[in-house]
Amino acid sequence: MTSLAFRRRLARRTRWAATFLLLAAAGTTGCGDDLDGASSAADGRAGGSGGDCAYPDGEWSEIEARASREGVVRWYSTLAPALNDRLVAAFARAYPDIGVEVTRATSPDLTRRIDAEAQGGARSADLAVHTDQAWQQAHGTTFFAPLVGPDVTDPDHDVLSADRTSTLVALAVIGYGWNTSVIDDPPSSFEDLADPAYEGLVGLYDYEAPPVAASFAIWSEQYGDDFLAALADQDPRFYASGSALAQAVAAGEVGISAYITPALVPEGAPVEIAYPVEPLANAYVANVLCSADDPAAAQVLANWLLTPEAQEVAAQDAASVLGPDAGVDAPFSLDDVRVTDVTSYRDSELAALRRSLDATFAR
Amino acid sequence: MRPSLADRADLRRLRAHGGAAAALVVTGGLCGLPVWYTFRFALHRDADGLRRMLGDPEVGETVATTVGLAAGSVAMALVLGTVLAWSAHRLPRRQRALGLLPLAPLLLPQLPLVIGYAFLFSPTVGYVNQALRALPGLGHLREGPFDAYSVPGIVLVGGLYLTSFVYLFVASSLARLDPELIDAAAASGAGPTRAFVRVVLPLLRPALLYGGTTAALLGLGQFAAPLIYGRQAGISVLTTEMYHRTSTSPPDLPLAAAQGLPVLVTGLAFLAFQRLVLRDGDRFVTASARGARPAATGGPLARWGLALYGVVAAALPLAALLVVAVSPVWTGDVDPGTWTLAHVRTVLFDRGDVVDAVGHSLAYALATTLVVLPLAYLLAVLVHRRRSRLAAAVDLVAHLPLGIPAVLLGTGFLLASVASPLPLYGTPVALVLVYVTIMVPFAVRLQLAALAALGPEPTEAAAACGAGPLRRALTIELPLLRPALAGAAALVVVLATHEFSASLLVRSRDTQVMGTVLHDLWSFGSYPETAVMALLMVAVTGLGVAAALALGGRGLLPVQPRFAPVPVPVPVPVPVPARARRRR
Repeated sequence: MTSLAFRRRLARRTRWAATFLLLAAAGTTGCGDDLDGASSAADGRAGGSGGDCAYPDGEWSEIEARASREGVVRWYSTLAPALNDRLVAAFARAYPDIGVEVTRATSPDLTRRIDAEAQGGARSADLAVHTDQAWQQAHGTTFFAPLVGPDVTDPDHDVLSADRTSTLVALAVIGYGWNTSVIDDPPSSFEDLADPAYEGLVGLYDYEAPPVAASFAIWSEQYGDDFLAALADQDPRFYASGSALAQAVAAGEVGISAYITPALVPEGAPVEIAYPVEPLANAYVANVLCSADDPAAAQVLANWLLTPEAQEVAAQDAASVLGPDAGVDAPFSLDDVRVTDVTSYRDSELAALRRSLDATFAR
Repeated sequence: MRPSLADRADLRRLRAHGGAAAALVVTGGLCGLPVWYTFRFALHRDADGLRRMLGDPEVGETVATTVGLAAGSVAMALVLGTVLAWSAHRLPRRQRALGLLPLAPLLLPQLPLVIGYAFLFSPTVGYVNQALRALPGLGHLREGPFDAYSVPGIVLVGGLYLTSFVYLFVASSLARLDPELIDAAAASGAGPTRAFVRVVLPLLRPALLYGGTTAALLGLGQFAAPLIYGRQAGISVLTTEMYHRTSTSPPDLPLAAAQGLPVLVTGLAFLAFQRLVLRDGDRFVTASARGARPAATGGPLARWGLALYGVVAAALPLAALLVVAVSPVWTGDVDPGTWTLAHVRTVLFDRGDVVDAVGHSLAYALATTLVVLPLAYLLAVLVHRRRSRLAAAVDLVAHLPLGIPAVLLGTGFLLASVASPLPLYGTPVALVLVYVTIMVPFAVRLQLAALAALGPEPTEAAAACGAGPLRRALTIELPLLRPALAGAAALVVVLATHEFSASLLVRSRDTQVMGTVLHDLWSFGSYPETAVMALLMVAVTGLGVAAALALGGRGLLPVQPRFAPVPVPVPVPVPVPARARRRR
C-alpha cells in the first residue's frame, strides 16, 4: 500500500517532470513559432516589422556631432574590397572621430544576412551598400530610414529615391579582361569572347545576383540571341563573386573574364581590361537601417559617399554618380554607360531568367 | 513519515526513469530542434517546398551526383583505407610511426586542405598539373591531367579524406585480431595476400561495414569540396543546393529544408542499419593470450604506400598553401625571388575580423567543452549503469547527430532561429548549441569507453562504505576518469575549431569563426590571403591537437604506433549496452 506522503512526493515530482517535459516539448515543437513570418521576412519581400522608423533629425551639424559621439558605424558593403578600403581611409580623413567596421559580402549574401538578422533580432548593419534595388524597394520605409544629409538630398544630384530611403552611391563599370600571360591574341571586342579560339578559357560571374542575371539578359539583347549560346559553347567556368573571378584571371586559371572591374584586380597581376562600346554599369545603392545602433554615424557615412571627395575615390576606375557639374574626375560619365536596372524584374521573372540561363549553360 | 520499502523502490525507479527521461529530452531537444524545423519547413503549406523540389527537373541529376560522389569516395576510401591499415599493421616495430600518417586528414581542418588541393589540381595553373605537363608525353596538354573542379576531382578529394575514417576502423580492428590465425594461415602455406583475403578480410567485415557506412554518411553529407569546387563546373549536390537556397536573395527556406530531407532520412536510416547489423559483432571477436602484434613485416611497398598517402593527403596541400601565401599573386609559378610576407602581415595585423574569428573559434570551442563534458558524463553514466529501455533510448538519441551531416544541422538551427521565438540567430549561443549537438556523441563514446574500462568495483566499494551518488562521482569516478575527460575536452576543442559547414549557416557578422572567414576569403578575397588564413587555421587547430595529445596522452590517438587496442574516440561497434549488461 502506498502511503500518503509518498503519493504527495510522487505527485510533486510528477508535476515537476511534466512541467520540464512540457517546456522542452514547447522548445522542440516550436510552440509559438512563425514559419510564415520567417519565410516572408526572410525572403525580403514582405517589408519590415512595421511602425515608425526613428531617425536623427535636426541640423546637420547636430547630426554630425551625434555621429562623433556614436563612434563607429557598421557598414555592410558589396563594393570591391580594395574600393572599400580606399573609401574607409578617405572617410577617416574627413571624419576622424567616426570609425567604420566593414563587412564585405556579395549582394545576395548581404541581403540574406540582413533579413535573417532582422528576423532573429540580432544586431545588424547600420548602413548597407548593395546592388539589389528590388530588395530595397520591397522593404521600403518601415525597414530603412529616410536619408537626411545635405549631399544626399541635394536636388542637383538627383540620386535619392522617391521614398528618400535609398541613394545611388557608386557605379561599377563592367569590362572584360584577360591575362596577358595566357592570352597571346586578345579579344578586340566583347563579342569576340564567343570566338571558339577562346574555348575553355572564359570565366563568368555566377548569375545568382540579380544585377548579374540582368547583365546576361542585356548581353542577349545587345549581341543577339545566339551570343549566350555561343558563350555557353566556350565551356565557361563560373565564379561566386567578381573578386573570385578577377583572382582567377590574375592567376591564369581562366584566360578571360567577361565581367571585371579594375578595383577587383590584384596589384601587379598581368591583367588588361577593355570595355564594350556601351558598357554596363552596376548601380550600388545605400540604405540606413531603421534598426541601426548608430543611426547618425550611418547617415553621415551615407551622405559622405555623395561628396565629390568620396566620388573621386569611388569613380577612380568607373563613373561618378554626381554628373559632370560636380567636377569629379572619372574615366566614364553617366551618359557613357548603361546602368543595369533590376527594379523592373519581379521575383518570378528573375527566377525564370535564372532558369533560362541554367538551360543555356547546362547548369 | 518514512516511506515503506516498496515506496522507496518505487522512488528509486522514478528517479532512474526521471533522470533518463530528462537526459532524453535534453539530448533529443538538441538534435530534435533542427530535425523538427527541417521537416516543418519542408512540409509547410501543403509540403510546398517538397513538391517544388520533386517537381524540379534538375533534382534527379542532383541526387544522382550526390549519390555518385558518395559512392565513388566511399569505394576509394574502403580500398585505400583497408590497404593502408594492412600495410601499417605489418610494419616493422621501428617504422610503426608511419602508421599515424593516414590519420593526418582527421587531425587537420578539412577546408584548408580542400583549398590546398585547388591550388594543386586546378586544371590550368595547379602546381601538380603544371609539373605533370612538364613531363615528356604530356607537354601537348593545355590543361590537366587532373581537374579538381570536376566530379572525379571531388571524388578524389573526398576519397582521400574518407580513407582516414576507414583506416581508423580497420586499423583498430586489426589491432584486436588474433595473430595466431594469420600464423596458422602462413603455416598452412598461404602467402600474405591469400591470408589477407581468406582469413583477415572476413574478420574485418564489421569494421568494414561500420567504416563503410560511416564513410557513406560523411560522403552523402560532404559539403566543403562540392561547395569550393562545384560552382565553377556547375556541379550540385543536395547539401550545396540547400546552402545556395538559403544564401540567395530571396532565400527559399522551404525548398532548402526539402532538399535536406533525403540526406537526413538516409543518414538516420544508415545509423539504424549500423546498430541493427552490428549487434552481433561478438561473432567476429578473436582472442589470444599472446597479445596483438603484427604477424609479419611488410615490405618497402607498405612503407612507400603510407608515405605517399601522407604526402598527397596532407603534405602537398599544406606546401601549396605555403607557396601561395608568400606569392604576390597566385599564378601557378613557383618563384622564390618574388616571395613576400605582405599578405601574412595583412591577414594577421590589418584584418580585425581574422583576430576576432580566432578568438571566437577558441571561445566557442571552450564554451562547447564546458557544456559537453558534464552532459556527456551524465549520459555516459546513465547508459552505462541503468538497465532500462529508456537508457538504451538515450544512447540511441545521443548518437543521432552522427547520422546528420553538420551542414544539415546548421540549416536546421538556422530555420529554428528564424522561425522560433528563441532569439538565437547571430548569437554565440546558436553556434555553441550547434557545436554541442555535433560533439555530444564523440564525448559520450569516449567517456563510455573509460567507464567500461573502469569497471564497477571502485564505485560499488564506495557505495558499500555509504558514499552517496554525488560523493561517489566526485571522489571516485571523476578522478579516475580524469584522463578520459581531458582527452574528451581536447577532442571537442579540436573538432569545434575545425568546424565550418554548420557554422557557415548560423554565423553572423559578430560570430565569425576561422572556417567561415576562410570561406569568405576564398569567395571574395585574394588567393594569397586565403592561403594565409588557411595556414593560420591549421596552426591554431594544430596547437589544439598538440594540447589534446598533451592532456589526453597517447591514449587519445585512435591508432597507436604500437597498435595496442585502445578506445577509439569515434563511435565503434560496441555491444548494445543493455544486452551486454544482461550477459554480465
